[in-house]
Formats: sequence, C-alpha cells, structure tokens
Amino acid sequence: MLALALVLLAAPTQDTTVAVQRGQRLEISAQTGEIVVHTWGRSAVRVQATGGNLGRLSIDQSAAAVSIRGFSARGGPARVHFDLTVPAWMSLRLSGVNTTMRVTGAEAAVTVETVSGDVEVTGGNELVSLRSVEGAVTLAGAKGKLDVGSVNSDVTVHDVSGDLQAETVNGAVFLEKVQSDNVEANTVNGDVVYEGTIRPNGRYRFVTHNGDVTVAVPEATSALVSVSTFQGDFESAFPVTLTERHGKRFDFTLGSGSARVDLESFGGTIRLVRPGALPARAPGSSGEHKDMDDQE
Amino acid sequence: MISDPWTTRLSDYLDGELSDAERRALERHLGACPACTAALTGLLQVVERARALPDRPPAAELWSGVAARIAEAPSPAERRAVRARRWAFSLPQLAAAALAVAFASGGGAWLLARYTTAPAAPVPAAPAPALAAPAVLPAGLAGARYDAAVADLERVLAEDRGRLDSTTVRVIEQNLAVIDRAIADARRALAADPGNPYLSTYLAHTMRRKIDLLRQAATIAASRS
Repeated sequence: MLALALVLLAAPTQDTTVAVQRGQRLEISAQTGEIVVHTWGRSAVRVQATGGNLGRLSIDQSAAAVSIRGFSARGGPARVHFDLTVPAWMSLRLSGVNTTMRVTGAEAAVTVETVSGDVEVTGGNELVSLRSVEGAVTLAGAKGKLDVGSVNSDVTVHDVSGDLQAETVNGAVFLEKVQSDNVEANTVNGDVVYEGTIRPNGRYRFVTHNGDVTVAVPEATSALVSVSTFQGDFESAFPVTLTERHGKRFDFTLGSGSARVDLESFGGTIRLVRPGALPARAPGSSGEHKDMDDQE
Repeated sequence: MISDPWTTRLSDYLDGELSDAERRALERHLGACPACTAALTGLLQVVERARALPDRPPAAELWSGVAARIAEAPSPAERRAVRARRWAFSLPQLAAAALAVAFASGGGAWLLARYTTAPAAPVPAAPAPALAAPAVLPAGLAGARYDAAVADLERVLAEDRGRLDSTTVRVIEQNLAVIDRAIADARRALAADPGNPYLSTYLAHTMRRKIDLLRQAATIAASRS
C-alpha cells in the first residue's frame, strides 16, 4: 500500500475524515494541548483539530498506521486540541508532552505516554499501557495485559480484567472491581487500595513505603497471605491465624491457600477488609498519602 | 552447579535490567525462595558494607589499570550510552565482592577458610571464585557501581535538563528525593535488622525504582532533543 499524506494548511480549526483499513493503527503526537479519542462503527478516522497557532495538519497513511501531527504556522509543534473519532477496532498510540489524553470506547490496544497531562482511558484490549509523569492516570473497562503508571500523581483502575501492573511514586494506587489472577501495585509515598478477585493460584502483590495497604478480601478466599512491615501495623476485619511469624513479618492462610498475596508497607498500616467496606473516597481524590518531609 | 536460574539474574534485577515480566516473576520467586532471598540479602549486605568503607587507594601494581579506568571520565558518547549501562554482578563476582569486603573489613582470613571449605548456601558452588578475589573487585566497588550508575544517569539528566520544562524537572527531583528517603529508611532498617529478607528485597526494589525513574527522566529528556 502506498503511503499517503494529506496536508491541510493554515486554518485554526480543521475537520477532515480519512478512510482506514482494518489492521492500521492510529499514531498521534501533540506536544501541547489535548487529545480526545472517541470510537464509531465506520472504517474511517475523523480528525477535528483546533488550535490558535495551528498552521498545518499532517495525516500520513501507511499499511500499518495512520499518523497525525499538528504543526504551528512557523513549523514547530502547535498547541492543538485534537478530537478524533476512530474505528473501535483500531489500536491507538498517543504521545505528548504537555498533553492531556482522553480515550473512550477503544476495543483494541492502547498506548498513551505524556509528561505533564492527565490520562483517562475507558476501554482497551489486549495490551493497554498508560504513562504520565506528572498527571493522574485512570483506566476503566479494559481487558488484557494492563500496565498503568504515573510518577507524581494517583493511578486509578476500575472495572478491568487481565494481568494488571500499576505503579506511581508520589501518589496513591486505587484498584477497584478488578478481575485478575495477576496483580501488582506499588507506590512509595501513597496508599494502595485493592478490591477485586483473589483467584485460586493467582498472584497479588501490593507494596508501599509510606502509606497504607488496604485489600478487600472476598469470603471464601483461598490464599497464602504474607504481611511485611517494619514500622507499620496490621489490622484485619476478620480473624486470621498466623502460621509463621518473624517480628513484623508473618504469614497466614485463608482456605486452602492456593493464591499468593504479598502485602508490604514499610511504615503504614496493612489492612484487610471485606468487600464493600473500603474507606469512602471521593472520585478523583488524591490519596491520603502523607508528606514524607513531615515524617522526619 | 547452579540449579536455580534466578540466582544469575539478581544483579540484573538490581540494575533494573529485567523486563517488567521478568522483574515481576523474580519478585514473586523471591517471596517463595529463601535461597535467592538470602543471595539478594548477601548482595545488598556487600553493597552496604562496601558503601560504609573508606575509599582506599588500590595496590598500584594490581589496580593501576582498573583504577585508571574507574577514574577515567566518560566521553560524551559514553555518557549518552549510560542508559544501557549495567552494574551487573555474576555470582562469582558477588562471592568475590563478599570476600573483598570481608578482607577489607578484617575478616578475610576467617572467611577465606570458610569459603574454601564450605561455601555458604547463598553462594552457589559454580565456578569457584578465584581466591585472588580481592584482586578481582576492589573493596568499595560494589557500592560504588550502583552509585556510579546513579551518578551517570544524574549527570545525563543534568546535562539535558534544559530540554525539560522546569516544572517537570522539579517534579522529577522531588520524586527522586521521595525515593531517596525511602532508600535511606530501608538502609537504616536493614542495618538494624540485617537478616530481615523483607528489608533486603524492599531495599533492592526501591533502589531499582530510583534507577528506573532516572532512566525514564533521561529518556524523556533525550527525546526532546
């Protein structure tokens, strides 16, 4: 397939639709601004771009990808608000710097990388990888291999299924309505909250340094639970019988113990609750993590 | 004979050289394998003890070449390549490092006899470390390698920081400080409770997080060129 390039010139607002073929992925990069992606049933990509300094919109097509970029009138990166409508089957690769990303309705792989913007994705399949340095990252309704991370903000995942890896440094990790047999979540300065399946033979690991780990444990769970802390505490809403204890490290077994659950907080409280008993959290709230400076 | 394939990956783990899947698998393995946890504990103890030792000039006839290479300032190209740099230890090197630190700490004779007759469990009996081990890895190098990897990445980041938004630089520095405080906490705890496998794996995990964040920041900065 010949590579095709469509260049639209000199208009602060542009709206164009290009036909695409199944198997092509969407690649879009915007250094500053916002990228919003919706899906529809047509095999076409509609690009609506708005930007005060938007001078040129480039849409390149190859057999593998549709690549979209916006440039300012002077040729540099433009501050653009992209509103894209794409086929639900189309895999997405979004990148930016000072760029906020929002995707809804995706049914294929989604990769998002930004530095200072928030990331919010609903949907996604097979491989979903979302990264921001400064912004919050939220994923919902995805399934497959899920990898979400921030550095300086919260990570929130809900109503997903599949292998899940979630991490941040200075923020909380909230995992809710997760169906998975392989979950790992870690942060340094923030809480980790998990409510989801603990499946037989599954592996679950939740780690923080300066925050609490709260896990909702369903009735009839079968798991070997290992709790490790140095300065923290342990609380359980139901009785547990320790099978091995070394100071503030101990194990206990629920049911036959087929799943493995590792809970670690260097200085916070590790807490087991029953589903539905998680502490209330306002949507979009940042975690309850403490300022590490205050602890010194 | 090394029967556990993960034992050879521990230094890769500390380097942050494992893929996410491998890292997760190793961390799960550590939870279930006392031998690997002990090996990792040993490695970290070597690093921590080496870190605490004063720098000593190496014996010139043995170390002149090595010392010169260590002291040699990296070229710009080498600095650019630092993202791929490793501070890997093979297990023989780990054993050698342990010996080196032990010698430097004054326990060498005892350890030499012990390692010669009955290797400690965490150190597999695979190719026996040369008993001239102190000539293989100088005291202090174990800790210095990690520090050097961090320093190199920090230098790359410092060189490229002009390409990053000032807010991003501040955020990255703040988060590195968060990780540094966690590392310091873990080190103090491990010093107080050196046999605690949780603290060993946690310290390793947190050190790796710092390398990962530095690499991420350096990659972002490089991509802005």
